[in-house]
Amino acid sequence: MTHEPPPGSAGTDGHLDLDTLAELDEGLLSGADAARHEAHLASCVTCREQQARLRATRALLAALPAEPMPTAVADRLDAALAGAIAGTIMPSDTRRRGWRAHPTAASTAAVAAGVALIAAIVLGTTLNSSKHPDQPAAPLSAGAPALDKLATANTPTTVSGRHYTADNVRRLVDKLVRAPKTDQASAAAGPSGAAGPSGAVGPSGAASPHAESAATVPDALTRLYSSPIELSGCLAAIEKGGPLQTPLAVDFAEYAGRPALIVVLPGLTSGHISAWIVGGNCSSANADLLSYKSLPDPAAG
Amino acid sequence: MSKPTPPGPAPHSAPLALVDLDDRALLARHSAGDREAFAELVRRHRDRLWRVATRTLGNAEDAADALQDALLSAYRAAAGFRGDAAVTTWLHRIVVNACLDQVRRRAVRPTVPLDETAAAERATPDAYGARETAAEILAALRRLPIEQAAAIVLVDIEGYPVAEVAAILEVPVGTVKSRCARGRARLAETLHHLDGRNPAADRPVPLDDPPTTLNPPTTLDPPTHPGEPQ
Repeated sequence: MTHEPPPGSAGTDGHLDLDTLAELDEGLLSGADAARHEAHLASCVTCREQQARLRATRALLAALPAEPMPTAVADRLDAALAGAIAGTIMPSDTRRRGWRAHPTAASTAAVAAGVALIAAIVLGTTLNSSKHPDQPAAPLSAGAPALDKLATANTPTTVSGRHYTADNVRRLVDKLVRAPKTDQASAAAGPSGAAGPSGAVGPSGAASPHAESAATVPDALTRLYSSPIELSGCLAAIEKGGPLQTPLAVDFAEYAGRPALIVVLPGLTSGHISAWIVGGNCSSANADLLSYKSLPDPAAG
Repeated sequence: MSKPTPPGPAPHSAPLALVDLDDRALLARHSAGDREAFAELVRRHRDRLWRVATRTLGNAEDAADALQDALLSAYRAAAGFRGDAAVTTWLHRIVVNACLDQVRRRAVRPTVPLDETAAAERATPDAYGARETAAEILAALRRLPIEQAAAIVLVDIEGYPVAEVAAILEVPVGTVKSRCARGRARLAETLHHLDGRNPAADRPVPLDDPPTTLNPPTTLDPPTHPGEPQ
């Protein structure tokens, strides 16, 4: 046993620290130390509570729910193995993140997806900026015939200015992803000026489900907002060179008090979506990741 | 040589279907040029390997990368498998090493900022569902040194015996125990607000799949981790 008792095995207040208690539980301490600590435990409620806490942690770990390998991952691994079996093993640099067994197929697809994505973002941003400047951007998915050909690459972009936090990210992303459908529904209701789900009515009378706050793009995000190239670089960095997927939603907002871009992508796990929250410095070189969360896909529920 | 009495057909009848072969036999078939044998081996164990990879790395994207790297290198190395370890131990070793490589290659691991604020901003613990609890535990795990995290994943989460984990990680049993102890102490510190929260009680919150539907360890011994003998 190469273990050395840590210097603070009995804390400054005379209590046992968590390291010592964990080592005691694991049988790592010498007989004399163990006996001394057991004697202390017998008479010290505080230390027994700490020990219980430690054991509760183990119980939490043992009870973690497990998810089976998602089909998408299983398919990817099958394809990679099939490629290996067929003798077309990719060099390790290009193999990374390759979803297809053949490197040229994978890179061609990635380039094609990237072009489509940039095209969609260019169109999206153009449409956005043609709107009333004081009107929060509405999702672009509804009623834009010009985008029909790019339906799969049609990124709904919004400027909600919402204040995302770790606690509300799930709810807000849920709302964000559901919003386009709601928009279509309320737009179909006609020009009656009916209020959207959040109660806001745009100047034209069309419902604006994202008008929770009349947001303007914060300075820190204008580079990403105004340049589709910058934005697509940022998205590529988020996906780390992987297959470029069309975001389900992009929202210019705030996270934990900082200007942030919320990018919602399909999750690897079916029935899940991924929320990538990046700061204004997000670029092709560095995603400036503020946080990430995998969430259940509201559309699947 | 005493005559072995394997179940199955006589030597000259049709070969057993791959699904009926054990792991070593599959590797032997693979070495003999059977193109399907390795894929069957992967299918058999992939859910377990996936769990280890996702929990060690903390997100599906990285886990899929690591698993792909691992399985391709296992595929290439399979013909040289010596049989001095269980096949599952060998597969786990390759996967865990791919995960460690991945972490060492990548300076930034996502989710840390979010989960730190999640812990700080948590207002009503009762509003937490099983998913949030699990996410928080996994986030705390990612803040451990990767060697401690790997040991905790294998011993405390997956329930593999310490000796098995020592074989997977190629370190002494005492090192596994020491890594687990240090990791648990840190986790207990980080997760103190989850005290008394039994995730089993949270299970009614629907999960994608109940864990009981997953393959239990087949080759490894059943979990007996509290007080594992050396």
